[in-house]
Amino acid sequence: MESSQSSKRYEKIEFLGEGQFATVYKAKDLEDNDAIVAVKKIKLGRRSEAADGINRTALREIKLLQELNHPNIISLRNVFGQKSNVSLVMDFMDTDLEIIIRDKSLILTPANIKSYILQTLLGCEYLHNSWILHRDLKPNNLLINKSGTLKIGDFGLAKFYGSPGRQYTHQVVTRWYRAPELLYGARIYSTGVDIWACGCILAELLLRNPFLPGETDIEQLSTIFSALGTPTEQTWPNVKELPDYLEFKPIQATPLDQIFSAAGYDLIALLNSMMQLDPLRRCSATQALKMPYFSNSPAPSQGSELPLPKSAKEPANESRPNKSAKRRKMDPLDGGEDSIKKFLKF
Amino acid sequence: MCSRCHTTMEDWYWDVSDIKNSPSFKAGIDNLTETRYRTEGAKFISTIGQQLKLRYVTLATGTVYFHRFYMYHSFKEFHRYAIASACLFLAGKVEETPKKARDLFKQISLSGLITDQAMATVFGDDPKESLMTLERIILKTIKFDLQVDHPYKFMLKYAKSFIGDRARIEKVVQMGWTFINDSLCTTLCLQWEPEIIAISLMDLSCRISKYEITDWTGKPEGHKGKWWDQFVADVSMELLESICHQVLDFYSNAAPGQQAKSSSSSTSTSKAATAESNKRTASDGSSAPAQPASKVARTDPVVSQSQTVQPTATAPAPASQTATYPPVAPAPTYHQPPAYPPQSQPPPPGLPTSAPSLPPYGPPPPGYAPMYAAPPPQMSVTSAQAAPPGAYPPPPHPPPPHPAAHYYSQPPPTAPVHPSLYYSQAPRPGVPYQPGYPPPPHMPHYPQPAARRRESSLKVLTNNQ
Repeated sequence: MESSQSSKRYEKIEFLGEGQFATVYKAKDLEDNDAIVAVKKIKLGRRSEAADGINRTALREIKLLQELNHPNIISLRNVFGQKSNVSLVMDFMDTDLEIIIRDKSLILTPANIKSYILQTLLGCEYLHNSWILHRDLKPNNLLINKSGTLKIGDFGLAKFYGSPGRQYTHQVVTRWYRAPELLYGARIYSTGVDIWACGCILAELLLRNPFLPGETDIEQLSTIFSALGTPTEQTWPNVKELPDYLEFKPIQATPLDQIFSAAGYDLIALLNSMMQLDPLRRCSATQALKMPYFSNSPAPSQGSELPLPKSAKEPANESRPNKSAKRRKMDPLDGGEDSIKKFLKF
Repeated sequence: MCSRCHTTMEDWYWDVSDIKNSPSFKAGIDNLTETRYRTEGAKFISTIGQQLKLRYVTLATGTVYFHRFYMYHSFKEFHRYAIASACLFLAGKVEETPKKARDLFKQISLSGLITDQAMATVFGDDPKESLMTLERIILKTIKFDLQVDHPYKFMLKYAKSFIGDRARIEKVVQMGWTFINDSLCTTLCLQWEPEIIAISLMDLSCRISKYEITDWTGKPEGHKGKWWDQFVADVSMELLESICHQVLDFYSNAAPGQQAKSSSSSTSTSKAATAESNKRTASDGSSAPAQPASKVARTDPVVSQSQTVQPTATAPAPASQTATYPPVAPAPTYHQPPAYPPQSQPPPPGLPTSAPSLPPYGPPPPGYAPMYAAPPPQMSVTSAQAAPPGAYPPPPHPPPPHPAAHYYSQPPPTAPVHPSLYYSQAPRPGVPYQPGYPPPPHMPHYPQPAARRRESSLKVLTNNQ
């Protein structure tokens, strides 16, 4: 595909947000029935930052997403480069799970919760069967579109795994969703880190608040243990051999059905097997999907039955709340609502 | 490349005639010179990469990028060493072994492969800036298709299935491994899938070692065929021979007019190497067209041809510093098998102790991470491959009615259904779970790049059976 075409192929609709490495725009794909897409323009930064060329996070995302194809994984529709930068074209997603959880005006029924965690686990199962660890699962990275499909996004930390003995960094996963073995400095880990994060997300869906919010890494561990009890030789053999092992004052585990008193026994069983301290005892995504919770009633909500926050329901060209007004000021490229539509200049 | 991501499916394999009629050929570079440039670029990557202690996968990935790049651009347009450096730089990041641009340049200048005087000719006035520019040009040229498979892992996999004298097999694999290293200097990776290259070079290595693989795991009773039949269907002997000849021709063509003295000289800047290069310089000077060096490594500038072409910025380098071509490999002929280890990469050392499940004959390369050992915990490779009807048994006890069941109009599914079915329209009780994605690859690393195979190519079996 020629770049000269690519730059004109996507007609910019609005500025969506800005991450550490990229700026994201909503755009219309003129060559695909005006499909709405998200264009992620990788920042190259100032000269000093650009000393090492295109960002590794972006390369990982391109490399992995090109190999993946699943309804619950964000899909990379196109990549194109222009003189000085690189853009990724992905599915446009209206909202994410974090916004839904935080929006207290929305009611999440047990069927809604089942649908979200089901779609997350299906995406996760596919990733793990493709020998990929996501390593940064959190509500913010679970993207949801208007038709209620949840897709796992942000593969900036994802990685092929499956070489036993290969060492990885333990500084992955946003702290609240970080598994205890990572906090103890494990360098050899596996799919368990993603499952732990899924467990935290499920708990958060039930509580509507982060389940294990720790301010520091050590506090994170004590938060985990105050809820789930300190590990013992019985619950987690050989935990003492982990590089950053710390002894905590023994705490008895609170049974999960006391914390989540409204949840059914089958949900508690699922949560319990996803949140085992010992990564080897944690269930796999496939095992989790086979648990009774998913075949018991209620059946998970179908797409259209899932709630959507107000912001996602609004038509795109209506003015958005103050947050985007502030953004507009910061971003001179975006000429405000009255300006004529511009073609993206990449 | 995933056909879903791009409107045109990218095909990374060409016929030999297409490779001969390359952009460089159209730009007036004869095939022999192009072959030499490709070899030099591959050796540059290998030399600098090894000095930077990069893993063999990184070197191989960078080299494949390099070869693919010059199917779209000519050697006149971009200097081979500039592209080789940028390919290595990019491959480092892709294969999670990143090196800083600064360190890369430091190593290049330490290695003496590009003299300081020639730097400006190869990279332009601002090497770092042009490295970044080249990186983006490469990315665009290779269509952002970063994931590349190499023959190494297939060779290891095949070797693991062989039954026989371990010590002999180890030697055979070791030689095969070196053939793969050297095959990167040829355009084989533009012609055939890594599986087929691995089979051919393994067979070549067996024949040279006079060792026949007669038994292997999974050999069917009374099987008359070859060991590779279980991996790739319909490999003809003609095809194998033609691949082997290309590698062997590389040894005989590698150093035209030179008689190899030491097999390790390719990476050194010893006096002998310098002398050889000087000889080469003299002979090359007449054939290469003189081109003014433009700003960013355009044209074919002549790192070691300062007698005929003056770099724009600097004075001509003293003769002793013009030795920039890596002296080429020793050239054993076809009938005289190459001395091992041949030039490019040293044969890998002994097994790392951390890989108990590796086959004892393995030729683990430096930094080798075992890929064949046990599947990771919690994963069963076979489980998703075959999901027979009823693979998901009903829960052990009949589920009690959900406490909140009466809130929902939707009736609970009558039989346990795999959750994925909820997403293919309505729940369909009794329908067996069929994963909507291919089974995990037989190699734990990557999904099989089936979309990339060209039509005329061989059928690669995804299953070992």
